[in-house]
Amino acid sequence: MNSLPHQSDPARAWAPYEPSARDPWDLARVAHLHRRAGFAADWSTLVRDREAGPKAAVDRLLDGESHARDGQTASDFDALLAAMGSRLAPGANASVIQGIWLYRMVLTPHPLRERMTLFWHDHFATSLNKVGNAALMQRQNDLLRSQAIGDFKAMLAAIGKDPAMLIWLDSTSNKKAKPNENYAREVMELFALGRGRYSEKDIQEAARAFTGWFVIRDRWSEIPSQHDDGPKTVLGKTGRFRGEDIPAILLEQEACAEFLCEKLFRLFVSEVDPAPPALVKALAKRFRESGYAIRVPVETILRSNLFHDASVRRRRVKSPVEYAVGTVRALEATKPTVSAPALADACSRMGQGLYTPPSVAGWDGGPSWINTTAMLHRTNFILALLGKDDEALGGRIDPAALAERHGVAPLEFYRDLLVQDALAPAALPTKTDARELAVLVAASPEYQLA
Amino acid sequence: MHRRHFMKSALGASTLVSMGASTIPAFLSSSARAAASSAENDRILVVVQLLGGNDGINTVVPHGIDGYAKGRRALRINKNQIHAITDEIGLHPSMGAMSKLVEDGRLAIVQGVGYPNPDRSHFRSMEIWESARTDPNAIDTGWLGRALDARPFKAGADLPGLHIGTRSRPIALGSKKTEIPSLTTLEQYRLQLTGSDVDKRKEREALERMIRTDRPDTDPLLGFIRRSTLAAYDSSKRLEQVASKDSKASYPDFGLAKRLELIAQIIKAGFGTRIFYTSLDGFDTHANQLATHAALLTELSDSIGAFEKDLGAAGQGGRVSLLVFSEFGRRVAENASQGTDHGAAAPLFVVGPVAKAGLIGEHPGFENLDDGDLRHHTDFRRVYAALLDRWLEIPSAPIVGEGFAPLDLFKSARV
Repeated sequence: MNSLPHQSDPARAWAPYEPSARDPWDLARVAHLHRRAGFAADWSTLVRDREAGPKAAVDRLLDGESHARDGQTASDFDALLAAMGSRLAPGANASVIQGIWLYRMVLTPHPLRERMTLFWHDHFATSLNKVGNAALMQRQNDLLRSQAIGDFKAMLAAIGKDPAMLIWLDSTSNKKAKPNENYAREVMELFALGRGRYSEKDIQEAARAFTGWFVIRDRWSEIPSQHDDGPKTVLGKTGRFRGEDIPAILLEQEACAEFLCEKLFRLFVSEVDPAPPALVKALAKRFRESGYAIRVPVETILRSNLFHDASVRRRRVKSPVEYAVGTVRALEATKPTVSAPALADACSRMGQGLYTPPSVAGWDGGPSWINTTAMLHRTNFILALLGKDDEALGGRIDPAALAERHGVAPLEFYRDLLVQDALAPAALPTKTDARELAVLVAASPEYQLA
Repeated sequence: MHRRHFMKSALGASTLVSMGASTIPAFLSSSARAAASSAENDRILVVVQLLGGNDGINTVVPHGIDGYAKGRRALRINKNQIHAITDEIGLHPSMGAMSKLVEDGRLAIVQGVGYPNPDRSHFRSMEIWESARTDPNAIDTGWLGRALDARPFKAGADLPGLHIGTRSRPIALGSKKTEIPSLTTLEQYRLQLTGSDVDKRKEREALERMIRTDRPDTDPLLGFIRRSTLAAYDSSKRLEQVASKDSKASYPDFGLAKRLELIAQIIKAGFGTRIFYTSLDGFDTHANQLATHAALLTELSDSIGAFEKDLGAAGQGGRVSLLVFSEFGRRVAENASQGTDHGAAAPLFVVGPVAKAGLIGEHPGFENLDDGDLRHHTDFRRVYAALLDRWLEIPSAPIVGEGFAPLDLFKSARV
């Protein structure tokens, strides 16, 4: 295993990648970009972005495409999904709300925004199992999407008043006489700073600032008489703080940007290599100086020498949602697409139920996605998707016709589309049909990695 | 390279550096052995939860104890139909199979089990039993979920716990580290190949060949996924073999029997899964209890009897224990609808290589009732402590709390 390049040279690591004879802008690089920054691309997108060059390819990811995969304009598509979300009954079951999001991921004109929304869902992990209200979960999801590559300050402020979050953390009644420390703790430990970067006293004092905050009839409300307006000292600052003052205090900590940039490193660069501190610090500095514009570190990473270095490819395990959505998108099962609740159930079987993360710390990710049951379900998902027997998932894809439509022989098509140069040629039989080739490539160990 | 050692190190990237391509063939041959040897070493706990609050009084019937006849008139069980355990107490007439387990030394009946300040809400009492905590805000994990967390699940291996059934995952299995899946059929645990038998065989072979093909395997993460995938295909094959050989095992046509049969198949296939959880619903017998309850106890007893017979014939009886519990018992006095209302303490069952079969602990008696309900003398967490400390060999105190001495249900801890 090679160690990461440019570990102690942040300027070089984060400088924009320029194609060269040694490091050409080839299919492997285009596909890597789409695997990490979205949910894999179809053949036409890969070819288009290979022609357009890295700058245009990253621009499109940051700004979104003009049209969704179902042919609607981006704004019509967003309006449709907003309507689906707003009509959700509070008692809707998990596969319905999961299905709405998966449908959006499959067809979205803005894959990076969805990928980042999923990242924030994992970061601010909240579970429907406890919240018990799908409409509130959808509202939280809309909040995370609205700032997914936007303003972290605004997101952190809003999540503290998000009813689903407060129900999840048992913080629906913050009384003066009995401050609830749960939100104060999690916002420091899991959302903004990371363990060991605050004291228990900081938590107790911040909890006093949050007194007076309630959730009443599924809405955040303030009861001034329940607010403790005495002076508090949080992370070295003293004042008559209110709940609204706490995010700014957290954001002033150097640890905050570093904590988030380390997570972004895990998301985009590698889950299995520790993030080199020099690289994280340099990225965090840009993030802080931007006033916590999430786009800044994301764009820096996606354009960087480090990101496009061949050695960081496949240093992540695809999560079940990345695996399922990416495969549906790459194989163009989009018109009509698969049954969204069935896709949701398949993801749950593989170990990732959207809106039902195992704890407030989110999913562990990386190798923990892998166990025998999960691997069986991954292969079974591919067999169902590429077969005819499963009415909810199968029968949408004709593997021979798909390769032919793009004018590429099936063996080259499925290898280049899904795994590029990663799969040893000997692993695939030369004499077999297109469906079996597609199954074998999509079930391969190489394809489980991002 | 032993599979377990690899799994232990799988999350620490630095230890993987030394794993080159040359270790893979060795792994492949050792994985089968690891699977075979795990069959002798790993103990298994199966939990059957009776949903709705089982009427313990008419399950382990204290016909000879003063007060039974007074509390139960319409619902009284006739003494000469009961499967006697002692002169005063016997099992319900429907429970012939479980009565035989007492004779065989395989069934311990723990009497008077409950917890202080009993809650008569189904929901709340289930939370208490399943979380093993009395704080209503501490139900994010369950006692078995914490047990699984205490024995960290090795990435890439078989799942350590499984829930069998359509009910959503019980609190008992809530874990901070592993999401325990729910299965309803064996199909979900198998490779879903399609077409004729020849097509299926060919497709399986093609998949296995693709994974086994030598690669310049310098990437330990990739090697790890290759191993896990092969182990998955292998486990699917093991299950198919067991299922096809298995036509002899005969289970009655009950839902619980089918779920226990599925569990037995997974156990016999040599999986590393150590905790199985399933349930039987319908015990909330507020009206016309007699026939309903008899049918439920027939399902319970005959299903467990078939499961025990199956495991015994497969030589697995020594490593499987089964716990049967319900969220509460029912009131001593029957109601006016020939039913019973929510109560408190009740007996529970532990099946397996128990230290002593038959009754454990005294019947709580009908003299000193708690607002019309039996009083518990044995906290359910002492039963859990025995299953954790003495059976699964996972320290119980961090899981159920301090001060719950394990009941002497098993001979001793095997260290």
